[in-house]
Amino acid sequence: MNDLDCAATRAELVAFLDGELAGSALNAVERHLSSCSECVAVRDSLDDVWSALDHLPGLEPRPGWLAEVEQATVNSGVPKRGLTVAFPLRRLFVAVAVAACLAIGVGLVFLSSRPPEATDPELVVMGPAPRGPEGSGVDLPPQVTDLPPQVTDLPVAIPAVEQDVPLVADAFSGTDPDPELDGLSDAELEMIAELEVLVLLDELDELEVLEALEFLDDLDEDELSDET
Amino acid sequence: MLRVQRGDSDAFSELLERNHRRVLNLAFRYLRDRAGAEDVVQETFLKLYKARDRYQPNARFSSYLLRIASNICLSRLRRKRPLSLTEDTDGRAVDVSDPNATTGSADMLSEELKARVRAAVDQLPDRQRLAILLNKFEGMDYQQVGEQLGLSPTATKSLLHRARMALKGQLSNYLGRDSG
Repeated sequence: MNDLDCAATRAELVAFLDGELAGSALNAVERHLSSCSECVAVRDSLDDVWSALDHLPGLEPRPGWLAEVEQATVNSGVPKRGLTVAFPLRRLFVAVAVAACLAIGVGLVFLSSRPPEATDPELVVMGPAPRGPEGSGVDLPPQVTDLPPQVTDLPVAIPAVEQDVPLVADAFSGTDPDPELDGLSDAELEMIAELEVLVLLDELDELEVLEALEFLDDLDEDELSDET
Repeated sequence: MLRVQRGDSDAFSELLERNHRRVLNLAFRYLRDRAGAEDVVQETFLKLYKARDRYQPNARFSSYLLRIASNICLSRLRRKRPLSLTEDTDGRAVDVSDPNATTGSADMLSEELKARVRAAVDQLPDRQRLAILLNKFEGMDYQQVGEQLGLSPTATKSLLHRARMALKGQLSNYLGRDSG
C-alpha cells in the first residue's frame, strides 16, 4: 500500500487499534504514524476513549434472581407437557359444549312439536308467572316437579318474557335466536326465559339447566299422553 | 447445550449459571435499566431453552447466545427508547452535557466520568452501541460482531469506526486530549 495521507490514516485508526489490520495496510498506517504527530494524537485520543469505556457500569445479579430465571425458564418449557394435559380437558370441554347444544336443540324441538293443551292448575310449576295469550297456558306433566329444586322453587315474581331478552340457547351458543323458537308457545318461552333468569342470577348453573332440558327430552311422548 | 438437547436437566442450570452475567451486563449496558436487562436475560434463556432441539453446534455457543440476546435488546429498543436520551425531531440524540465541566473531588470525578461515558454510549445509534458493547465487553472481533448484527466485515468496520469517532467527539475533551 502506498503512503497514506492523514485522512486515509484516520479512517483506518480504529481498525488499527482493534488489531484488524494486517500486511500492507498495517504497515502503511504504522509508517504514517511514525511521522505525523497529529494522527498520533488522534490515535491516543481514541485509545483513551476506549479505556474510558471500562467505566461503563455493569450489573450484579440480585440474590435469588438466577433461581427465578431458571424456574421461569424451565417451567415455561412445560408447555409441551402442559399441552398434553390441557388437550384432553379442552376436548372434554368441547364435548360437553356440543352435548349441551344438542340437548338444548332436541329439547327445543320437542317443546315446539307439542300442540298447545289446556292448562291443569295442579301441574303448573312456574308460579304466578305472567301468562301468555289465549291457549298458551303452562301444561307440563307431573314429572316436571322432579326438576332440580332451583327450578321448582322459582321466585314468585319472575320477569315476563320480553321480545328482546336473549334466550338460554342464545346465551350458550352465542348466536342469533334460533328460528325454531318461533314455534314455541308463550308458556314454553316463559319457561326457557325463567331458566335463563335463574342462570343469570346464579341460582341455576348451566348443567342444571341442561339436566332440566334433558329430563324433558327423556320424557316419552306416550308417557306424557298418559299423564294428560 | 448438547447435554441440554439430550434432556440433561442439570445441564441447563449450568449453562444459565455460567452465562447469565454476560447477558445481564450486555443488556444492562445497552438498555441501562435493571428490570429491562433482567427481562432480556429471561427472554434469552427462554428462547434458548425452547429452541434447544434446533440448536446446531456449528458456531460458538457464546456467539449463539449473545446473538439471541442482541436481537432481543434491539427489538426492545425499537419498542422503547432509553429514558436518558434527549432526541431531536429526527430521533437523533442531542448532547445536553457540558464536556468542559469539572468537579472537585476524585470520587466526584470518577462518578462524573462514568456518567459521561454512559451518556456518550447512550447517544450512539442502536447498532453502533451494540457493536461497541460486543466489541469492547465481549471481546468480539469485527467478523464476530458482523455475524451478530448481520453485517458484512466492511460494514462492521465502518459501523465501529463511526461509533468510536462519535465517542471520541463526546469524550475526548473531557478526557484531556483534544485532537482532530
